[in-house]
Amino acid sequence: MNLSARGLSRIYQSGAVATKALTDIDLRIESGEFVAIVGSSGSGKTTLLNNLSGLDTQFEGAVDFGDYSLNKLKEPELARLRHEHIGFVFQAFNLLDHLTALENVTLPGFFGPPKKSRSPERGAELLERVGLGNRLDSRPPQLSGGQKQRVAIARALYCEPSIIFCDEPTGSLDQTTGLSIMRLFDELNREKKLTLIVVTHEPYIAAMARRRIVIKDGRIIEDEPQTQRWPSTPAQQAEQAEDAAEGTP
Amino acid sequence: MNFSRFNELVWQSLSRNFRHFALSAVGVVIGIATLFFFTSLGEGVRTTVLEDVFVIDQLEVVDPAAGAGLRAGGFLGSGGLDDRTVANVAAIDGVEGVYPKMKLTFPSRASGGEALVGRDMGIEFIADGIPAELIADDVSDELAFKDHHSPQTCSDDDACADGHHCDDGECIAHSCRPGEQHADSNCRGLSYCHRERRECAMPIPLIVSPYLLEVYNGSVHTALADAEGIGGRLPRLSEEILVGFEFDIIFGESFMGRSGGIDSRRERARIVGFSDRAMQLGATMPLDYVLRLNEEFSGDEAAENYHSLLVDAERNEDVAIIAQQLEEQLGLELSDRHQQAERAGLLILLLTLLFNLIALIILVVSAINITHTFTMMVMQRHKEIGLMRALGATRRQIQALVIGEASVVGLVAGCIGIALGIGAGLLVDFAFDNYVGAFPFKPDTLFSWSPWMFALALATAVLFCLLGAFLPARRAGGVDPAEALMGR
Ligand SMILES: Nc1ncnc2c1ncn2[C@@H]1O[C@H](COP(=O)(O)OP(=O)(O)O)[C@@H](O)[C@H]1O
Ligand SMILES: [Mg+2]
Repeated sequence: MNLSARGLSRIYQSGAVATKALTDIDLRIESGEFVAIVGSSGSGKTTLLNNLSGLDTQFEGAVDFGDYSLNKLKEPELARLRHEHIGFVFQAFNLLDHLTALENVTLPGFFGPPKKSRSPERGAELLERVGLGNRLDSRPPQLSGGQKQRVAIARALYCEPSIIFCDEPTGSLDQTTGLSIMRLFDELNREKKLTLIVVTHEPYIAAMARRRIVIKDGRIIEDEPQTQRWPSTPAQQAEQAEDAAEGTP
Repeated sequence: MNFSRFNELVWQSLSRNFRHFALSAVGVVIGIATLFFFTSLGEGVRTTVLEDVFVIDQLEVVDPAAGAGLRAGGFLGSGGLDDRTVANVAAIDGVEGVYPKMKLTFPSRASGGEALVGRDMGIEFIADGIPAELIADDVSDELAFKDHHSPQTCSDDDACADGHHCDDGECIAHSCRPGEQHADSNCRGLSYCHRERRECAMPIPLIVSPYLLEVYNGSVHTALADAEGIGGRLPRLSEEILVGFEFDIIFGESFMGRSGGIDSRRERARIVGFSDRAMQLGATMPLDYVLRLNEEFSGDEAAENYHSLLVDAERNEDVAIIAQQLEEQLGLELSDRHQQAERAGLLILLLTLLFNLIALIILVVSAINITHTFTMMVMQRHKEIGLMRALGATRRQIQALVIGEASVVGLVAGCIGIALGIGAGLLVDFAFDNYVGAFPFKPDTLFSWSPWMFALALATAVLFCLLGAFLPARRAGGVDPAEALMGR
């Protein structure tokens, strides 16, 4: 399903203070794209992601996901849409510490109708796919940052979404781990024709997507396709990361 | 959302926050235990007092004139309690049975007791009569409570009472010689040889009120237990011991005085059973005996009117309405026993309500406590709830989750509370049994545990937990996922 925004604006009203986080965003993302949204801290990336994913529908303008117009849906319909079509990956992982890795992956299954495809077996398969086939019963506190994010990715995949929104997915990880997570995203994008929208403020992460949208002060200032630049060896990775860091102040 | 999977989610959350939930449940447990304890105590005491002491499903219509000895011979045109009155009372809705009673209207005394206490004793004999056929249920042997002294028709000897044979369709008493050994006499079985008539006779069957037995065992026996002389040797009595006990009644003569002009007469009597319909302080015999005796010793007029009518209600709930109809429509007077019963019932009910009010206050406080605990937990789980919303949970599902947790807390707390309530009851019963002396109608247990109490206690526990969880659940449902997951 395609995703599009027209005249999207978001104003945060807290008391008498109004913050305009997004101004007049027009955007179209085709099914199967791998998009990076970059921008400095406070530029409005998270707000854009929340609006596009329907987590927050208090915006002006329109966001259409397939045939659904997000701010016209009722709360249960929106929840249903998120449940069936949308996956999330967060910077803070947001795993539940009292559940095992497998239970975390299958957690979304509680909120929708029971389906054959939503089984512990499938949860285990997904953990296998992200490289954690031997950690099914580990709880998040026993896992490293990268492993936690892999569990979170498996959870995002559990309900077979068509799109995954990732807000700074590598923000809590070191470079090497972050890169390996991005590589996993790339594979998923190729294998499953999964639409991926990755928000990051780190240019070397953004460099791995196939389209780059730059936002500044709530506006899109750049939106271009790019050839992916994959670092090959750890040394190259570090070098490229430095280059990238120099490129954008 | 699938129910069993929903339960799983509730369970996950409960087991993680076990201590919080356990703490929040303590108040409910105490409240429910209190509620259960006092409800079952109130019910138990009410049952004893109303059903055994006051026999609440029974009303007694009394003849005021007869009681005061002022009968003016129909002066105001209203007779006493006659068969018409009986028919009128029986016609009232909800009346199961009417038992007319007539007292002996002349002095008598009883003598006997050797078999029980080792020595004959004398005592004033007070008795009334009731239609024998109405009592059949209360006496095991149906032949036992009947008028043996009126002519009986028969087809063969077996149809006649002991010591009688069938002759020409009528039961005839064997003749006998007084003083003969029972085994050698013609008077077989329950019959005895009547001293004056020199023929076999059946003792007058008597029924006695369980109340009398209770008063004897609970007060007289206990009070005299350490007394010198015969009082100290009085045994505890039971229905089993007393049924079949025989003694002599001397009609027309008592310690208080004698009937004018008529010789007293000695007859044997036998206790054949216990019944709530028997006179409370005295004995009750088949009505026909009383009719004949009153005629013999007090003259014709004494045999015309009943002294009281016992009225049985079909259901306890109807008693009040029946009482009202008896008084207002039929202009009859009720014995004050009914009023006493109502007053006692009301008192117990009020006390039960008072104690349950305390339980209710405890429950309200614990509901507030639950609100606090649950609100705190919802706040702690703010991020988790936001995550669930992002993963597709609706507001309702989140609310249901909190409500589900509260229900489980309520059910568990309710069960523990009931267990504690029963435990406390058993403890009190044990103490009551072992440290409180006998008194009339001392019950085996002070408590009555019925299914509705369990249901009530569980429902109350869940209700208060739900009340407590209402606001936290709304709060949980209102969590904004975007804001919760912002990660600040
Ligand atoms: N809930 C909020 N209330 C008020 N202002 C907010 C809120 N969320 C974000 N903002 C403001 O909106 C702007 C964009 O924030 P955000 O989308 O989080 O940026 P980014 O993710 O790029 O760092 C910032 O100025 C931020 O302070
Ligand atoms: Mg952000």
